[in-house]
Amino acid sequence: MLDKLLGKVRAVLYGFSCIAMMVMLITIFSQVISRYGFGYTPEWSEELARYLFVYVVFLGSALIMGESGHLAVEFLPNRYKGTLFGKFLTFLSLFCGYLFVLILLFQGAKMTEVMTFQESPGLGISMSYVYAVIPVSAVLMMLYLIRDTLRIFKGQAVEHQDFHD
Amino acid sequence: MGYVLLGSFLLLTLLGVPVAYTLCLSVASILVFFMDKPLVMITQIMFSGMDSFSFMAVPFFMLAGSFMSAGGVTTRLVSFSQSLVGSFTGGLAQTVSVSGCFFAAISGSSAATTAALGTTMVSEMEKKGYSREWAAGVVASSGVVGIVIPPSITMVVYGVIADTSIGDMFVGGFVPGVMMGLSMMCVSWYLAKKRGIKAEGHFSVIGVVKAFKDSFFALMTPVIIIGGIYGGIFTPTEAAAVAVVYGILVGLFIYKELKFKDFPKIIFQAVIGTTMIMLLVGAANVFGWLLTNLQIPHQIGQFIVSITSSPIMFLLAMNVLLLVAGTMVNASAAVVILTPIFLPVAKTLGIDPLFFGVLMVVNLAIGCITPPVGLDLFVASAITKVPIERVMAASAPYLYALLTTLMVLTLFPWFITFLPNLLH
Repeated sequence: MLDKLLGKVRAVLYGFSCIAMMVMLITIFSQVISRYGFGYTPEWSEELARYLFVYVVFLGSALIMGESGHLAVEFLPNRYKGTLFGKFLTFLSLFCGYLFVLILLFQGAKMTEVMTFQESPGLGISMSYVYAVIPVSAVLMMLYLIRDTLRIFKGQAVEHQDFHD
Repeated sequence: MGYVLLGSFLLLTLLGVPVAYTLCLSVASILVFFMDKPLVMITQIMFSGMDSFSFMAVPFFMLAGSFMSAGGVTTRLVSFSQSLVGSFTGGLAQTVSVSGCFFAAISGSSAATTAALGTTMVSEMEKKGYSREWAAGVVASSGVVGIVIPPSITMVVYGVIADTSIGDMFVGGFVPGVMMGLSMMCVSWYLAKKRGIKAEGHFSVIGVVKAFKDSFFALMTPVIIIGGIYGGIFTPTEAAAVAVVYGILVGLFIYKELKFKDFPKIIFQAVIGTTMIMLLVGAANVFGWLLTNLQIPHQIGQFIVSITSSPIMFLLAMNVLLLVAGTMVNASAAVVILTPIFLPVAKTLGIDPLFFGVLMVVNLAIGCITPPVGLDLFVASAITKVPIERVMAASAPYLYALLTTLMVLTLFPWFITFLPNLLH
């Protein structure tokens, strides 16, 4: 049930983030073209790209929790894998994950509510639409955390592979 | 308060809690228990840290590198390198190091460089009598210049955080990167002499010209980026976007190896890579805000000055700290966390922020092959199927050479600063 839902979530996030990335790229590239070709830079182009970027980062943060996990110092968890202490470490990470997500959820929601009447300078949209990505991605992150918690209680290992640049 | 902040951050991080969480939670604990400030500051400051035009260069440089490699640039760069140094003693090992430098000039990360070199070069080296361990060692080591030679994602991150020109950082990384490449070539030459690997073939100018023509479009990438930024034609972010479009065009129409069906996978990798760094950037912005608010960098600075006021001693201590940090987290993450703490100290001691930044990047790059947990060692081990301990042993001579280069750079800042100064 939850896995099915998360499968759909992943597909949507995957599609959205790839498209958003391409739009960012096209926006910035055409900004260069229009500046040299027509001597003119639209006011909204940079802002659009920036907000898409923030969207990609927050939604991608939810996505990562289902893929490889967020960047962590894996030395101790790897070393004590399978022991009681290792279990404690996994729980500690999950617990901190919940706290982090709750902060994003409630404080992000607060920002979204308070900023309804503030308009962005370039695009002229309500800042609420921009900030809304914080609580939305927090909800998605919560789903992944719940999945991981359930897996631990069922005795399955939480699969995280290394990923770095 | 300062102790609680740094202590809880360090403890949780070492226990393996993701760094983005620990940064935010340690700040949250201070806000709630000590300062009585609203928690909404966390999301606000996090947002404003990410909402940055300059940081958009990060995903674009990732994309540019991946599109180029998917478009068949890797093999061409390797043949060009081989035409240059393949006839030397230990030619194939030399080729790996030189390709590493060229590849670094189109991509902004070191694991990507290591992976690209590993898949193409290891079996070929084995055929010519090099041991598999040696191949793994030289591949792992040659990857590290990826973040030193421009363009570099880590330098973009430092440039934004330290408010230093990204263009200057790029140009400043050029000479150190080449020095690192040369030092590794010397090691390969020495090892090949000692292990009796004969020189093969002979140098031919026609071969070089031919290979150069073949890889010309790939080699133009850094020229476009650096030339564009320095010529005042575009900002680093725009340069990165132009490089992506250029990479796509070259891959599709000139080398014709890039397929449209590869696009989603390439873009998705950039999404994951970017998110990983940018969530940290946001979280570290929160952490840095509280650090500054509590005047912790100032206190650390005073503490350090009370021990030594010599910039050299400070830099040497930083080298050790950064090498350790570089083994544990990726270079960009380390820059995000450590810059707000130590850059103010460096400035107090009269150290040039540009020099400090490039040195930091060199350090963190070397950290990638420093035992016991350097990340490139693991990448090379995974690709070559050589056990990690033996990759460590094989890369050790290269590590010593790189550390020597690091010492030279620390003692003679001129190597880093003269090129940016020249261009101004």
